Amino acid sequence: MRLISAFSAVVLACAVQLAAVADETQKIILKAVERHGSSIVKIEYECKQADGKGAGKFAATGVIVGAEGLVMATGTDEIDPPVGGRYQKPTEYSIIFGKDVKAKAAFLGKDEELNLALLKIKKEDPKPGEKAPEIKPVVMVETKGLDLAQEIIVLDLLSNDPGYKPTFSLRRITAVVEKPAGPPEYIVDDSLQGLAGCPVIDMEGEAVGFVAMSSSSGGGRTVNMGGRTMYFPGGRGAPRILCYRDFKDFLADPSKFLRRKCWLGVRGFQALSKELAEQMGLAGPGGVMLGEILKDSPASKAGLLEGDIVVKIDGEKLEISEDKDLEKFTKAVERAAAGTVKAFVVARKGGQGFSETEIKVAMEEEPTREYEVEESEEKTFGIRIKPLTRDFLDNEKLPMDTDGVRVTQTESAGWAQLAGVRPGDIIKGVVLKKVSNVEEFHKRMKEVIEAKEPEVCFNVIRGGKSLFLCVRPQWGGAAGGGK
Amino acid sequence: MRVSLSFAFAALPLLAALSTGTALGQQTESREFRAVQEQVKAARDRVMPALVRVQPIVETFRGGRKVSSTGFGSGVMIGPEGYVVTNYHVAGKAKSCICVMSNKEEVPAILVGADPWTDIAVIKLDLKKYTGNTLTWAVLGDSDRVEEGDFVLAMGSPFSLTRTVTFGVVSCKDRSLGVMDIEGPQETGQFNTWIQIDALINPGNSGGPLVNLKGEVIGINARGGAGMGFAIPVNIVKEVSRKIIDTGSVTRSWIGVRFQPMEKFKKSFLGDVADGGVLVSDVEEDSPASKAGIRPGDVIVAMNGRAMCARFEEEIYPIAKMVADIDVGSKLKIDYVRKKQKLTADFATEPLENVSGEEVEFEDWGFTAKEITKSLAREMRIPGGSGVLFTGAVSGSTAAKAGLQNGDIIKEIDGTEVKNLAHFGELLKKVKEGSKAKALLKVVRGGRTPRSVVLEKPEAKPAPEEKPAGKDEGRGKGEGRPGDGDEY
Repeated sequence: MRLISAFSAVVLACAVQLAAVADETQKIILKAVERHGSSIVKIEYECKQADGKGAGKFAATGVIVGAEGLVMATGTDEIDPPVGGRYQKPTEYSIIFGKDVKAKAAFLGKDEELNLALLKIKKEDPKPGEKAPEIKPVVMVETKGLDLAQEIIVLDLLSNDPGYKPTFSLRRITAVVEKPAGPPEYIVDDSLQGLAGCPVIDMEGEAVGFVAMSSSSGGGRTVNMGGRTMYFPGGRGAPRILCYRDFKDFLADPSKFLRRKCWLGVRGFQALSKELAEQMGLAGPGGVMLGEILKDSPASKAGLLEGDIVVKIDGEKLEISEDKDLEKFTKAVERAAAGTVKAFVVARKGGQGFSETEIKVAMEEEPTREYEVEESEEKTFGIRIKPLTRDFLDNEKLPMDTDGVRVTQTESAGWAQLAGVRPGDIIKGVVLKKVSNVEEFHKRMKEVIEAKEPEVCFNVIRGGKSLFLCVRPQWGGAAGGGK
Repeated sequence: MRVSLSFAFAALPLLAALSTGTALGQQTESREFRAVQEQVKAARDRVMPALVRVQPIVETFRGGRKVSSTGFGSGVMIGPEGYVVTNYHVAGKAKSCICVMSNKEEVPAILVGADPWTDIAVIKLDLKKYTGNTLTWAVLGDSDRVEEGDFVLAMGSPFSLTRTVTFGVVSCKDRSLGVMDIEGPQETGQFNTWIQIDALINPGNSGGPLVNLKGEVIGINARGGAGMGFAIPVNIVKEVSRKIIDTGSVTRSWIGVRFQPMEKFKKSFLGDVADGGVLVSDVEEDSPASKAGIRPGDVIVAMNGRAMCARFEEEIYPIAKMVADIDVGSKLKIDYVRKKQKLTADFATEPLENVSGEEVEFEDWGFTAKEITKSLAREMRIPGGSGVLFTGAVSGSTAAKAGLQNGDIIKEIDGTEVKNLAHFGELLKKVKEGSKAKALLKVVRGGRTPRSVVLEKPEAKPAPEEKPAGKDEGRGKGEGRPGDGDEY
């Protein structure tokens, strides 16, 4: 009997202690909500479909990070739709602070690597019945990172339906995986899905990080391990935790990150390893060997040559002896300001072996990428096209001076499709006339339509080979996709 | 109700008449059927004794090593000397073959020659080792006389089951299947149409004969799937196998032009300037035609004075074959129309190369590499075309440690440009015999990106051990079968 009483006392003591712990956690969460809750916003926006036939409404979570009205969100394709995708880019975003408290905002840009986007709230008087928002930026604290087994709170704001109420999720760091380059990967219990754009709060109540979408390729996954669900962040579209230290520089000077990157125009970089240096008869490791120098690129204009080893940039020695450290070099190039001149010291092989020489490189913004260029449509033949960009031609191993337009879509049973034209084809001629670019293509198609050409032949490049594809349009008839 | 009954009574005499007719018809049909069956059996008896099951022993390259593998296919004897015709994709790379004759006796055979462009190979049986009493070879017919609806027999070893006969009709006498890949970037089917049949063709039928009811071989079965089979017309087989038997190979001319039929293009490209013609769809860089100024969109109306006309796809193949059959290096005069203007070009042809080059194992180094032919360089869009293609490294070898990857093009060794596979071998030998422990290789990765690689010399090889019997790694039924995919 006495034994039972003693046991009951211990159980009771434990229960009391547990209740105390539960109370403590609740207190911490409530305090976190009170401290940071007003910095969390909902971002709502409407995107018109690319074909203009409809629109989609989207919402994301964001955090106010600047007193001037800067809002940080994760840079998904929805918040910043790529040109040529399913949706057009929204012109305006609504920042929701709570029920009936909102403001308009404009998209400033995003950093591709961190996949962080910034929006700026527009200063406007509130509409009747709406309150003026109070802009209260979150105060982030730099830590050395998150620790194994550390508990974290992820704060969020519910959407319109429940009335924009604050909410939270508790997670625990179940593993920390250091990466050769970039921030470590934090594996957590349960999942991070649906929490992108939310701040991460530690159990001291400090905002120490942010849940962002990864921009690399792959995919996040939730795995059951020993009865526990663990979330492994993966590639693009998979949420991951970034600590403040990882994006501190981004917030300190966003303009440096949001502006267009610079490029050198070199295909392939290689770290000068100890082995390579020895074999090449160089004094020691450290440097970046340049691969193929692309035509008309900043590197070719500066006179850099394939095989040159960059050992210094603006007097700073490049201590790069392993490929995993090449990021230091590529970032230095990408984040340079266009128009500035950088002094590259390169080790160049000559008749007497390697000798160092200084080369001034005028930095230039990278050329327009394939996903950035506008798509246009030729409705009569049911065909959508894009101009040829440098990165597309490079991927296709086609010469940089290739003329034509790239087919992105063909309408089902449209005349272009009936001719046999497929997405990915490069159209370089229409009815015996060369088309070098989008403008020429549309001009030529207009002529063909006006002349009601009985045979319309497209000269296309497919798989690097030329091919002629022809259709006999039923002008005014019902057959085909002709309008 | 009354109407129905009267109809039923009225119908009775008709039914009786029909049933009498059916009985008469059945007797006639049954006689005709028996006659057909007799013809089928006679055809079977004429060709079946010449039918051979072919088991090639093929050298393949995997994981940096040369390994032997085997598969199975079919073939048919075409003469008393022991020549057997089969497919390139069955025995075209065979080091040797084991053939099972119609009397179930196993006889070894060697490869005489092969032609990937028509998917034909010829092997020769070692008749000294044949102990049978009789030797039968098949009569080769005339595929130009084949008609849709002709009864045909397909003979072979589907799934390695010897002496199998299937029966059907010719579904199409000249099916165009376009140009197909047969082995990596190597193409086939440029010079012939196919006989399409509904007789069942399965893996292992490849190389077997397609036979008409006269017991003549009218084609060599090569492809099948979804209830359709395709055979190479025997007239192509006769020509190609004759050349292989006489010279060991088939030489063809190449001008670097791909053709398209004119059906949909006549008005746009020719107007009233000329009739017929064949459209030039593509001209390869640095080819004889490109050097002579021929461009895509030109319409060739005559070659060496002979009028060209290809309205439909099937008419392209004889034109491609006509060009290929010109003696290599001889002059070709082309009359063509460009933008409705008549023009002429004269140029000499060049030899048509196989796309796939030779592959070699560098055993000491623990890797394999392949010759880059001009055609392969064009297909892979490799600039320059020099160097060798790295195809695999043995795990733990110095090449694997150096990070060389499949598909790397090795362009230089210690500053010397690699000209070809033989030259690469010489350079490696030089490195091995030299005093330096490592060599610096310049490679191109992913077809474009230059990279430098330090390759350590392999350690000296220990004294050779005696190899246990059954050295053929990976040898087994179906493993590494040549002709995987829809080639049967």
